[in-house]
Amino acid sequence: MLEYRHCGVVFLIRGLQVSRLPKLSVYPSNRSYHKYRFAPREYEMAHSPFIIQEAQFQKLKTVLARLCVECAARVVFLVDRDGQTIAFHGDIGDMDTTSFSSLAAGNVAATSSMAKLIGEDVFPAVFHEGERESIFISVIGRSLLVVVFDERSTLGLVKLRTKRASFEVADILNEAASMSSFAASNSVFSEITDEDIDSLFS
Amino acid sequence: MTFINYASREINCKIVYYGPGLCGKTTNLQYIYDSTAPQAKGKLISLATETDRTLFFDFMPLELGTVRGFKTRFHLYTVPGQVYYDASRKLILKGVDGVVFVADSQEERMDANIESLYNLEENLDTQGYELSKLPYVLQLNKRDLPNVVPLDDLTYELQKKGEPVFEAVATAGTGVFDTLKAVAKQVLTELRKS
Repeated sequence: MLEYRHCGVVFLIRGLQVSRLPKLSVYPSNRSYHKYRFAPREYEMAHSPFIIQEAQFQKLKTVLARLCVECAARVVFLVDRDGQTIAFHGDIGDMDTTSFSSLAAGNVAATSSMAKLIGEDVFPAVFHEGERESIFISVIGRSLLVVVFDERSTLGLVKLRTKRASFEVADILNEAASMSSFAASNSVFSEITDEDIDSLFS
Repeated sequence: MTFINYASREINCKIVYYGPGLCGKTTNLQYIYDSTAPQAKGKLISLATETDRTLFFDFMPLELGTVRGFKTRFHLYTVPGQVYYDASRKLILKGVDGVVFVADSQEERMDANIESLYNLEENLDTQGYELSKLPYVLQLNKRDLPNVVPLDDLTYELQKKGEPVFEAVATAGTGVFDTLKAVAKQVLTELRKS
């Protein structure tokens, strides 16, 4: 545990699997972007751990903060496709972020399955327009970039800024993936005892 | 997918309640929700039809306490039990850490139990999991009804790998928390191994 305090903040996310993005001067179209760069690897996903260290976590927070400002968004979330909040930036007010992330993931899971039924590989983006607030979700491999915005912003602006941020997020997650096996072997949870577990239920 | 956040010192795990239609999966969650202190739980989200049948999933986050200084939060999901919602069931199993199979003990629901259990194995396989390697608990629900299959027969038919078996009456809360504890323990034990 001490060792981790020295190392700082660490996330362990089992199952995130994002292919490394090439350095492109021109972004590919949405279709090729998701089909070829982020093709899900379902079997590996269920078993392989993924860890994000302090440095990567702070980088993600920086990207989200910048995206939030650039989009004039209310709040920006990075959510795992299984429904866990990885990070967020902005005004959450009294929003239930746990439920929000779970429902965002359920939403994307459902629309992705609908995409397959009509012969699409995936819908790379999902948009919900409300009377005051709207939600734009961009699928980045095993994670989702979710932007909540109101009339101070526009869908076009959000899409434009989110696309650039998606590449940065993918790069950071790839960087974290390359360091994940070391962090996994040092996990504090290998030291959990039966007594620790029993104490939860006492 | 177990998610460990060293920044906020939290462990998040996903547990899915599976079983045939009307076996009591939502009732399990509802009882847990009603019996838990407000500070230990989030909202109970139900994506249900107008007749209160689960359409996509029910969801509630539940905080059990701390282990090694980490808050342990379990995300509890149910699947829709009706046969034709199979696509939804597959989606909800993604990233699962532990499964509770809720069986309906009534004689006339025996076939439905077996079909649902087979469906669980098949859908887990689709997601890259094997039931034999996953934290798993069997709950025999509705034990208060008059037309139930004897315990030994039901266990013989439905037990897959020597998993813990609990008799339950979810409407009254009997066996609900025992089931949850058993699967949660297995999930945390797996976390230690990994």
